Amino acid sequence: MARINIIVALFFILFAALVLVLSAGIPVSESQPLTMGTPMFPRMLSYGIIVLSTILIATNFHEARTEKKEDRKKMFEPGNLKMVGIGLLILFLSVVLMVFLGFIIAMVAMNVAFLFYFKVKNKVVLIVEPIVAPLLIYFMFQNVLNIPLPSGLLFY
Amino acid sequence: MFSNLMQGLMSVFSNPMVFLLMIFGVVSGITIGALPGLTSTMAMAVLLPVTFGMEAKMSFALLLSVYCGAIYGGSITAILINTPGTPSAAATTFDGYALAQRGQAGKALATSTLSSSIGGVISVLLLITIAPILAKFTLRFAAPEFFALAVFGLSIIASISNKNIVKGLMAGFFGLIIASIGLDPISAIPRFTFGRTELLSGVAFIPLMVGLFALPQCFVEMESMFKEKTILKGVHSKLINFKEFLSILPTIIKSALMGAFIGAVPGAGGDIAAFTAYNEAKRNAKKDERFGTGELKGIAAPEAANNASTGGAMIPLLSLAVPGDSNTAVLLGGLIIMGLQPGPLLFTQQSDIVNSIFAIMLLANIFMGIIGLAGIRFFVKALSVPKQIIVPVVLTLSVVGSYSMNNSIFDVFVTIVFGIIGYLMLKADVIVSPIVLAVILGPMAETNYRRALIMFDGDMSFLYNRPITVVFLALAIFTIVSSLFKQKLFKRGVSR
Repeated sequence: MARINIIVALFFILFAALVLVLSAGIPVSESQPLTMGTPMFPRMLSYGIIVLSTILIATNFHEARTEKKEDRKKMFEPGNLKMVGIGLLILFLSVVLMVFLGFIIAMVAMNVAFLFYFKVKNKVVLIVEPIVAPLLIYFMFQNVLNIPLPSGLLFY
Repeated sequence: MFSNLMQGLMSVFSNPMVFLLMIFGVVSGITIGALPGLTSTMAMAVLLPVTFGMEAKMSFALLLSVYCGAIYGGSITAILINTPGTPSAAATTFDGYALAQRGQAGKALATSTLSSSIGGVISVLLLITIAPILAKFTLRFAAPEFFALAVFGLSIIASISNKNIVKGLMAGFFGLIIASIGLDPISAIPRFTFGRTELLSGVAFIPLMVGLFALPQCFVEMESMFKEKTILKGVHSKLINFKEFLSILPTIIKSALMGAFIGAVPGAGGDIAAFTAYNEAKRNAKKDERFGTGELKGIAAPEAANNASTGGAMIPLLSLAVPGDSNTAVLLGGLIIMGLQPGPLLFTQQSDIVNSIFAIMLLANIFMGIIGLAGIRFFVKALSVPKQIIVPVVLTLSVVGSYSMNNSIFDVFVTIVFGIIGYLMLKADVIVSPIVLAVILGPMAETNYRRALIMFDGDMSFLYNRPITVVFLALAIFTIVSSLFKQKLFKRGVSR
């Protein structure tokens, strides 16, 4: 875990540095001396993250150096990242599709894609679930709760 | 006290839709809680957008019923397959699973149902008694006190990240930076908006929460989708008899009181309450009671305590606007979205809502007992729904949930971004609850600190010359120091 902790700390330091750079561009109005100014709060937090990350690195440094290769905990098991990556891609593309084709078509497509991806072979499930779940959710939001869902640019 | 409860009950009874939503909420909560990996927080986060179009009473009927139901539902898988559906049910596995293995799963489930229901009812009665008194006290608060209260709320991050406090605090600071996105609360100058109008009012709370809780869980399920298969055992035995019920009743009452008080301490949730109550019941065991081998009291104690923690956690939420755990953090978000501000003003200006909350929680716990006993066999069937079907449905709900807050596709992409962040954090063993806590309490801390500076002409003496402020800041320091101490003890125990 020590190596993972160090990697986590380095990522947080990078994030804090980015916040510090971005906060330099925030304007400060002259009427704010009493209230610290707009960029002060995120700047203080960034320094806090840097201090905490340094503590995390310092407390894990020795263990990371002495840790045996076989004892090292991996952040991702082989193949897991690929599985999640494909799932994420299906989700992302479905949301993009939703912009053009609307909620129902995009979500039916997403459900079908996931069922195929998860290797579901039952034909009843393959037909019923992707239609019933999005339609039920659509009906509940659109008709019962009066919350409009996207109809898509093509069907606008 | 009871006149408030009667008013709340009258208000609930006058609307049949509230009843239907409570039944739906309890059933959904039990089902979701029973599914390992799906937590009560996730259930509430996914259902929160469903409540947008509803009036406040109906929203609470759904959310609170899901909350109570899910905490109880976790015990079903703990008893049947030795896998707690929620962390709160971990202690139930010791005796619950052992009893199920002896062919008495029905008895174990009935004990858990009755204990959960009675525990929940006792905690609601405590909530009704204590919360209004605490709320009256908070009427004396001004900006410095609210700042100190927010700091105290944020210090809970230390106690909820027991495994590694530094990483928990880092996540909290990250959340505070996320909370600073949008217009500066004092001068209205935009911060980190990158010219996007969608970010002027900050990162929307629901997409963030759905992203942090629901998506990572789905991704983790995807990882295991092609590997594991859970074997389900049937329920083939009698329920608990009256004599057995009477023998566990004192344990239920004692554990419920303990659970309610532990639940009221911010940061100490249902899991701590359950383990403490189990430990206490075991400590007071008679010679013939063998804990760990299927002892009924070993199921009653953790279950009464974890459900009692729900009412306990509502005490600081309603009276101080400090969420006790991630579940109540979601509820706090729900209250704010509905335009309600928890704290003393909620008790004085919207007492009907408070009374309805009391009545809904009381009835939800009673319904939970009735539905739980009647549907033990039916709920078990939910366990056999394959994750291959559940994951796409949860993802569809997540998309629609994050979209419906502002009717914005941008929010759906925010959900995906926070889903990735949440997944990476999960893999790196960084808990995400501090982010939610920080996003809720961050603006309160910053706004009130800066207001206090204006009130006192830039003089920071308000930090040490106002008694309530000092007490809250001291409590915050105590919470962090005691958590560090606990972490040290825990590490020493692990190394031994």
